[in-house]
Amino acid sequence: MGSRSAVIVGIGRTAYRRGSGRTTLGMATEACRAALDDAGMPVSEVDGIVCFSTGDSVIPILVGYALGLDGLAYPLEIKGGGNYASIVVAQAVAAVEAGMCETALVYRSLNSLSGHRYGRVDGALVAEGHIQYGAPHGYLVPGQWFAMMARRHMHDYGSTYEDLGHVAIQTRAHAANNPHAILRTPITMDDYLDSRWIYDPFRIYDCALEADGAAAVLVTTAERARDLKQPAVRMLGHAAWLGAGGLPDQWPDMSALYSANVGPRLWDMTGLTPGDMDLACLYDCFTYTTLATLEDYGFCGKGEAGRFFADGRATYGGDVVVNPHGGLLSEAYIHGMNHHFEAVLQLRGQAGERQVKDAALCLVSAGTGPYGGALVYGRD
Amino acid sequence: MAGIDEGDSPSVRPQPGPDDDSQGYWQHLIDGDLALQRCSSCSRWQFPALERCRYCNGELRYEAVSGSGSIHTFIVQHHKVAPGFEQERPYVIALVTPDEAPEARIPARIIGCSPQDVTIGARVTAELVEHPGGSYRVAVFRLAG
Ligand SMILES: [Zn+2]
Repeated sequence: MGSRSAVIVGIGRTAYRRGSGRTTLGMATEACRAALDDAGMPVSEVDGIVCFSTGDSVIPILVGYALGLDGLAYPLEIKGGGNYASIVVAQAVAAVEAGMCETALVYRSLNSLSGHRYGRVDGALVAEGHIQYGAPHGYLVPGQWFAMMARRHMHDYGSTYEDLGHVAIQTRAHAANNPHAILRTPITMDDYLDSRWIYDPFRIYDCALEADGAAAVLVTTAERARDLKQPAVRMLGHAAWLGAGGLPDQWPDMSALYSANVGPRLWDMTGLTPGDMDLACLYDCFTYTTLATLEDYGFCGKGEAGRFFADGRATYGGDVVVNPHGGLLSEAYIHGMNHHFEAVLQLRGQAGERQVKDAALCLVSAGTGPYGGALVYGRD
Repeated sequence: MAGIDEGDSPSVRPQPGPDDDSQGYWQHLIDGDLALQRCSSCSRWQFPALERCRYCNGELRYEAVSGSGSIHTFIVQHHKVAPGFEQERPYVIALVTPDEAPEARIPARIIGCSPQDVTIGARVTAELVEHPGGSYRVAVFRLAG
């Protein structure tokens, strides 16, 4: 086994819908086949499949079966949420580079609207694990944990509701140029401030757009990539930090996120800086996640992200285009895998109307609160 | 009360599901104390409950705290995320740091005030109340003074 490198050679996805009427297996299979078609690669070459799951999903070996494969050399399902949406790609790259498989698909498939919903509990519940303490008070869904952090950021750095609003407005404006996005009607600050409260400081426009769908990327060796249809995209570095035992309430500095630990490590590892990024697909399960990660990754100082958005520095002609596809807020909550799709599309120069000019480097982040990761993609 | 969903009485609120590490926390509440784990070797507090001290592997014992503390951060819950809170919403959920154990953050409702009165850093005191729909008690907090 010699030293070899792995690259991203294909991307695929389903339609994103408010109610798919489909199984997660059916959607995962479609997204994976689309990634293979995109690359011009036969399914028979796939010997690895990686995914992450929480709530509803489907296991890699079953997706392999549905693709017509007899088996897999490297099936891996990581138990966890969007905080693993960069680790899964890094894991596929590492597995191919280590020779544990030749070609790996990475997918996320979920019915986050019509299936398992992250924002609500229906019916009787006996709350076990760390939610046992808060659940009797009605405190048990992820958005509440991260709203606690947003409030602390407001207290420590003077950020405001309007700062969150600027993120929602800019992200929606980007989605208007994306035919694949579910919500494409621009919103104003008045629309934002008039929207209904979920858990103050979060309004409905601060929350990810629950939706159904699947997205996938295809990883293989750089050598094999030379004969495929698309220009390859390379992962230039990956870093993650999953802290506080996954207990958001116990995260020491609640005005920062996992990204305060990941940012410095990622830039050190890659030798790059935030200023080098042409675009950033920032995990945006909530507007606050975009705001805090923008700061933690060093695009601006603490407490400055709202102004950064308001001043047009997060869009075309600014410092870095943040979530040109509309993110989880407006494209769809595909748990961060849709960010990888967009990053690769942009770096290949295939994003059409919303193409970021000469896009060569893209930060993709995953997760929020005490846990997450990020990688940098570059044109190979 | 008009407009209240009959199926959403407080008795359908989520119930705690204690495990072998946390069982003492819930039993102390039933017995009338807010008690947290404390290491018998290094004296550090632990919340949420573990089997052994995460710093020194020492033995953890439950020790009552006064119930005085302050609000580390909070949210105002407007939207229904769990059944049984129809009559409370909007209401405040805070992370409270007890005076004796400033590193612990206990999630709890803040009662007896308007959400606008709640601020980060506000002083609070605990009150133990019956948890509807079962045999547990929970600690809620009121603004002090
Ligand atoms: Zn100890």
